[in-house]
Amino acid sequence: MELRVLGWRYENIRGGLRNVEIDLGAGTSRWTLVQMPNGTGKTTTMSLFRATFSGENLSAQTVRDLRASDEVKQGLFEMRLAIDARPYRVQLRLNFEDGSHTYWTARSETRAGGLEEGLSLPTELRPLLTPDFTRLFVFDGELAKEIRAVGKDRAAGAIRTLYRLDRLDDLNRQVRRLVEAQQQKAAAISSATEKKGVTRWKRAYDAALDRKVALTQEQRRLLQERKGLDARSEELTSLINARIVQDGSLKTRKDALEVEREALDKRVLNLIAQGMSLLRTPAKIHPRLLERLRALGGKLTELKLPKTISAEFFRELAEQPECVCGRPVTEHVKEAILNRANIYLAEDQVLVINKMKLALRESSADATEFTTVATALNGALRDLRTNRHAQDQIEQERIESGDIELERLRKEKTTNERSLEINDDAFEKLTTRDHARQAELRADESNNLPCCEAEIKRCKQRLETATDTVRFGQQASYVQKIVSETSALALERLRERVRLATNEKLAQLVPSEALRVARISGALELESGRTATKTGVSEGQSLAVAYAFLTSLLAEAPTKLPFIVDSPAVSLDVQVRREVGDLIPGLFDQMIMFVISSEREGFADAFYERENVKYVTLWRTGEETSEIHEGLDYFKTFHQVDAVA
Amino acid sequence: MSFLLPQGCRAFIKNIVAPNDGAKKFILFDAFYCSLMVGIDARKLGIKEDLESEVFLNGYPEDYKGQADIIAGLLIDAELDRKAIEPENKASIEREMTRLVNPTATTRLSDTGNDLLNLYAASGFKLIQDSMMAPASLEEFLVAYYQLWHRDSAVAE
Repeated sequence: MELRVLGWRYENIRGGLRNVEIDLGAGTSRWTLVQMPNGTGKTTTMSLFRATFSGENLSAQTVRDLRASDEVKQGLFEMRLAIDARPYRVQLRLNFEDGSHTYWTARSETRAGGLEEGLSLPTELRPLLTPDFTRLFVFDGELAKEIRAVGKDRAAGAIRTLYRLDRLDDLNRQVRRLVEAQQQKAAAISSATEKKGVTRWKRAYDAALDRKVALTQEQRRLLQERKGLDARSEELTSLINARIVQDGSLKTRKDALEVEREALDKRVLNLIAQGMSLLRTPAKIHPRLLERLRALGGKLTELKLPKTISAEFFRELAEQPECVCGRPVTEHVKEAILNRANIYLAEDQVLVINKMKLALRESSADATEFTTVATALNGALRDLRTNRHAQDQIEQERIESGDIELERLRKEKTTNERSLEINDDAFEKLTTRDHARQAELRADESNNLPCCEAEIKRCKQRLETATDTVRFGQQASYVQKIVSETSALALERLRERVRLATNEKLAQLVPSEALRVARISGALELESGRTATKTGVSEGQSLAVAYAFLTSLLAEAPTKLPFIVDSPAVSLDVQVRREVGDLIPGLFDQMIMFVISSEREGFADAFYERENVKYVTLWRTGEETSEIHEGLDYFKTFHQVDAVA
Repeated sequence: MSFLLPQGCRAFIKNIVAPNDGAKKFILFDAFYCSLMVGIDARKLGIKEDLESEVFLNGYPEDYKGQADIIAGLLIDAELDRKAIEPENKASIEREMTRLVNPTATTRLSDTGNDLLNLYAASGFKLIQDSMMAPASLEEFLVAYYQLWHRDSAVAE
């Protein structure tokens, strides 16, 4: 981002600045030298710049002190700026009667570019334009004197602000917001935002795992029970048979029925095999299906489907210069052909459908086969039922003849069969995965293994969510720690970079003294070649240090700011002036320098040979009036005894 | 190709699904297929909610691979009928085939065709449930299934 000053204007400001406007022009010069004798409002101008850049809150007395005369009630200072080439107009309106002041901004973005109350500069600039920081680029020699003690944190603070390390603070704030959002999300799912939630879901998860263990044991028990019941069932059948065979005639009948049953079982098995084979052939299930298959095959043949022309034919045609009809295939025609090609079957689809059509047309089945098998099967089942009934009859006859043991065995068999049914039902309830069946059987996580497994999964997810919140918080703290360390490290490296650049410039500005910045902590700590810590520094040396530091600080910053300086060389000897005059012009894209005539020698004259310099001379012509002259010639020759400020 | 069993189907056939019992082998896909044939015959689609959420089988089992063209044909036929597409409407019939057929799939069906197959099975299973009790044996099921198809004629004797 680049901020440039295009001009400024005074109304009713002390120092004869009644109605004065300085216009730096559309193609704003890189360097502007404004020659103003002492007492004509240089210091006032610097204060007004600082206030208007930063929106500083001025005291009523400060406002009243800016009054041009008792007659005027209101005053104004207006800056015209270009921020990334977009014009801004910022006004400081002063009410001398009540000592109040307001800031107004006109932006190109606002409707009609009208003035709106408040300082509305781009958001990105706002962190930079604090009153403290503004003093660094709207700079006067006064600051130079205190450069080594510019507030405990100003030097480091300036680096943080200018090099946007505050964005890392923003990142930490964003991380904090993410943690809050994650906690809210977790709260919505599990109400578990803290360790309490983790504990709660851990307990639920453990309980579900325990339930699964219990249900698995129950499953094993049922299987074992089933095995025992099946074995007992076989045993009872043998015992019952043994009772029957004790009676010779009953034995003969029983044996005959067994032989018949075995044959029926074999027949049933055979019919099932046939039935399954028929069942798996759609055309054999019912004549209706066969008819439909044939009808579809016939229909496709009749309609000559699939078409012999495939989508590929049209796609190829679209690439030809001419259609088969001889007309040219233009872009428009090509697009139409390609769009419509999609309604045709692709070649592989055509192949498959042709194969299907063939299969449909050739579907042949004896639709009576299934009827034959089903009828035979039904007959076999009926015979089996009859056989079973006859066997029951034999047992009944034996009981009626007084076989109490057989009666007991029969009862036990009935009970055993009932137990098998109960076991079967319990096993189904315990193991069914069928949701509809689970609902019918009122199966849930307490009595159904699949439901319990689902509950374990659910608890695990919630536990993970709850744990994640804690883990997320820990991870966030870790990220914040990294960001803070990065910020500290970046500040350290930038400080060092600025320090080394400062020292390079100092070596040029004050070569004899070997004055160096030893450390940039809160402020600048100086050392010279002779002493570790230098405290006694002349005004000129302070200014040299200030320039070296400020130019190093501002020159490579991502935000390009103008450098506005009052009396840049007044306290420097001529040699240092020349050094400063040679060094600093190249460091800023825009410099506005307020000078007095004595600074022309050694400093201002270093610009005379340069291009892209604007010279303005502003002086007071009376108690309440001022005059402006532009141009180098006037600047060079202007002579006026500096007024007493 | 992903097959979904109709809800309640597993419980319904629990007595006849044998892991591997020779000729008596009745597999889950048999149950799906029996339901599908009934649903297709009725030209009735079930709803997604009537299906299990998890796929029980991908692709046809060995015994059914030879029927892929026929099953695809039956589906196309059912869809033409369900959508009342005129038998002479060549363009619509071709469009329907384009929609349902995927030559690269082993089932010959597109994803849309696959979804429809599942929905026909869902409706078919309801019709089966309405017409018979949960079978105690495979032989009973075969007879009952045959009778379902021949409701209008006399029971096979």
